[in-house]
Amino acid sequence: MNIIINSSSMIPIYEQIVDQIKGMILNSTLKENDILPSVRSLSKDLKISALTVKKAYDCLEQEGLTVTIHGKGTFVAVANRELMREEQRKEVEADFELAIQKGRRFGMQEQEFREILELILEDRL
Amino acid sequence: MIKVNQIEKNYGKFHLNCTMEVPDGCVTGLIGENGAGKSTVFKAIENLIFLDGGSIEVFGKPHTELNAKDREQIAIVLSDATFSNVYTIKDVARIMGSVYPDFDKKKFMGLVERFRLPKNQKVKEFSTGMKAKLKLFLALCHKARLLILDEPTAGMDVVARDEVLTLLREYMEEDEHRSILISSHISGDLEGFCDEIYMIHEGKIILHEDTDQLLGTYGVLKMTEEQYRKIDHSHLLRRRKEIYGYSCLTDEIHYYAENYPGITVEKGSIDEIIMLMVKGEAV
Amino acid sequence: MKGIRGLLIKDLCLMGEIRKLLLIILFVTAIFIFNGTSSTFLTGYIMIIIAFLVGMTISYDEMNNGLAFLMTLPVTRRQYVAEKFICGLLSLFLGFVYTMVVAVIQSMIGNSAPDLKESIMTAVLFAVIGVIVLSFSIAIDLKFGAEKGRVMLLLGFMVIFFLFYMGVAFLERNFPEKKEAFLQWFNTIFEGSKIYPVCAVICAVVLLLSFFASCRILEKKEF
Repeated sequence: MNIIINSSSMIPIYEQIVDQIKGMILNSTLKENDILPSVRSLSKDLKISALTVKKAYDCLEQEGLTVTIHGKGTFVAVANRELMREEQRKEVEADFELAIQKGRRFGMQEQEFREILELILEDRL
Repeated sequence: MIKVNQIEKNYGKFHLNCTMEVPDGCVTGLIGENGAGKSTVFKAIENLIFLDGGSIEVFGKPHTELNAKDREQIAIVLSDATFSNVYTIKDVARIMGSVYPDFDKKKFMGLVERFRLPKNQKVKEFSTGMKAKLKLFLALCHKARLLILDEPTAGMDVVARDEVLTLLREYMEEDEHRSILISSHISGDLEGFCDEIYMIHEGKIILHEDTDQLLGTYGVLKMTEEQYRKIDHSHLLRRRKEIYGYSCLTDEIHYYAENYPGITVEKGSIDEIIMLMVKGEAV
Repeated sequence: MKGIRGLLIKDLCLMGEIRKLLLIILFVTAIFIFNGTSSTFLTGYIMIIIAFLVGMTISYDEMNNGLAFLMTLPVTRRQYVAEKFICGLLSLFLGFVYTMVVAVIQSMIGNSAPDLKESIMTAVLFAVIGVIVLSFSIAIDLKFGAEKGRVMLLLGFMVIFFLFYMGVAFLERNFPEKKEAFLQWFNTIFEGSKIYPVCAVICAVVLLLSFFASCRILEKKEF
């Protein structure tokens, strides 16, 4: 499993793990009933504390994305992709909203927002 | 695995008073500068020194009442001692094999070869780093479920430290009921390895926190004096006067990052956290 | 008893370190055999050197704070002390056998043909002295550290001999008849068939006292 941790980012490490595993489930890198690496082994591979990994796994389980069978491991649950998509969409919407609020405070107009958005999109492409 | 309850030890001016715990399946780190009391805590747990007060439990028993079977389950690396250095690696392997029924000679010799330690030379001729590796390999090769490692990486270069920490991570991966108590004055070693960290200063534990929290939510705020007067002080742990105003240690960086956009917020390294805990004044 | 076995193996690994000493013993033996002189001095020399060997193993254990590490192995402090006594007695026994062999060789090739019975007696007496030296050295080395211990042990024996000598001299000056009686008594207890039980009792008492004292010393030691 390829997870990349940015330890200088302000985003907590466990959240980075959660987001990346979610991404893998979404794009089907991880499929239903796939087993996730054990807490100790992922913590070894990422060189982070086992508690951090455990926190991420707990978080995934709470969101219903994984199931832990005691003594066997953590498995990817039957994924409801649409629901996940929906949630992620909401998150992105919220981020945009924040940005737009900020822009309004600086007195930006709609046209300017569109320009910025296009500029960013072009950059990434 | 280990419960240290209000132990006390006096050496002249130095006074140790410490409570800590090493949970089952956990890697617990103890950091602090030289002379802060790390080795004293370790020696007390190992029953090499006697307590002036308090109690220690290992495997649920008083630490003075462990039998041979219990002690075979514990591997100890002392910061300043191992077998006398007139022995060779072959001698040492023979001795360990006769003392520990579970000593895995194959694994030990494998490690010795992998790290290119000379087998027939006396330990006396080893470099500091080689000696440190040997000490650790001895501890890793008899299937102990509790490792007590006092400064196991001392004297090793960066690359060796990383290799050795990987060994320790692998050791933890093999069996989820194993626990480690480890100390180091190089906090980088412990950052990526320990599940929780205790910070000791002048014989007292001044901070106990999950590493995850330390790295995730602890941080340093930098601000002018005016900003300092205005902000909420409830999540500030320490402050220190600087030329520009104050730098403060907080355990809630996200709170300050969101609510006070004008303040510089830095995620703290463990070194910075120690520095501020020790040198800063209480808020 | 795994612990004790392990510690014995540890001391055995020191053979390489003391091989010079063993070579010297062989060399001296050879000289004595070809010289054809009485083996009394040789026996004494060998037994006393061997009695000090255990002290040497303690000083090797102490090197680089190694004793602290040994105490973290699954070995109790009492077992450590017991091992030192076992190690010491074993080496004294080997020394005893060695001196016997030398005596036999001497009587076979020698012109003076030493009396075997007397050789045994000499070896037993020196073995007793060896046991006493051993007992004191273990306790003292553990108490003061092997380096200081060796010096203290030598001083201690000098003081004892000095006191003994002074005591005898004192008796001679003031109560000459008592001195004679004392010396006679002293001779009788080491005479004939009585010598072996007396030696056994002395050894047992000294060993036990020293063992318990050593255990107490080590159990109170902090590292």
